[in-house]
Amino acid sequence: MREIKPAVVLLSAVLLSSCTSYGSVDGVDNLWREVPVDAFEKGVTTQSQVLDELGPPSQLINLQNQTVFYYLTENTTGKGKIFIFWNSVDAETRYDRAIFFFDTEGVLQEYAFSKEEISR
Amino acid sequence: MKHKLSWCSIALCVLLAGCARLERDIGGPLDEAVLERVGVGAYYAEILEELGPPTKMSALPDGMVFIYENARITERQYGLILPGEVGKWIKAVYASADADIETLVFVFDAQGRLSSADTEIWNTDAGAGMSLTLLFSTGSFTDTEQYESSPARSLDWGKALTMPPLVSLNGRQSLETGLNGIQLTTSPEAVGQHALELGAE
Repeated sequence: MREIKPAVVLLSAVLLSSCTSYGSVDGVDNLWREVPVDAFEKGVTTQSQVLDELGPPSQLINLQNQTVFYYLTENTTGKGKIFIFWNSVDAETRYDRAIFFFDTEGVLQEYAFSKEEISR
Repeated sequence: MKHKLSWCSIALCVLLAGCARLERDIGGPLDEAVLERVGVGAYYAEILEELGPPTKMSALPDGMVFIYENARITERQYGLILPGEVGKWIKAVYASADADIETLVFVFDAQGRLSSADTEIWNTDAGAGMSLTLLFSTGSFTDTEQYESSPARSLDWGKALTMPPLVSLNGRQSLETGLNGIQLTTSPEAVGQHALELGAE
């Protein structure tokens, strides 16, 4: 019987193994990362100005005496290693959010952005 | 000798079939130390300053609630090649998953002042499953959908029209619109508001 050389086995193992990578982005475009910091001013900026800068929010929430614009971008990335005998996939989902609270007159009361940032 | 051989062949079947690990981190780690920095009476803007926008929020009859969540799901798969001429091309896979859940909850009164807050970290069995595949696969075989549901889910409002009747009829009390309360990602259907939808599938 013909002997299989270790180098052939090693080469086969390398050729049969593979890697994979994937990613997806969901939600709205995180335009708040592009807008200048002074574009939003508490007590001054209005709902229409925020809409003008960022577009429609992901959610519009009605509180007792406030209206909330909630913007969300979801980014999922994953990497996989396939070695036939041992396979591994790691995925990570991160969120970039912006939230704006308006009073009954439609004037900005509070706003905040996520600590985590998804690069555009 | 025969006994040893059979154990060796089982071990060989497992090794040749291979194993897999699938890990998913959703939302990133939370800073629980924030509870030491903000106390009862803190304005909601302070929480936003510390943690940014919440994962979920909802109006309450006398205020509002913020929830911050992080889920880390680990699925392990163990394969076994079946015996026989046909069996050698087929791999049986058993999979089980665990989820590490981290949650921070902040409840505010009508003036936007913090009335209560708490954190919880726990590990839960996220399910198990089996499959028969050709040679190898790295797909998930456990049902972890409830941990992975995106906060963007409520944007799919049009799909509500295609939901089972019990879910559609309960839609006005939905806990995903931000108007009627809120629930942890891991809540099963048998609790509270969703109990009305049991048997909808």
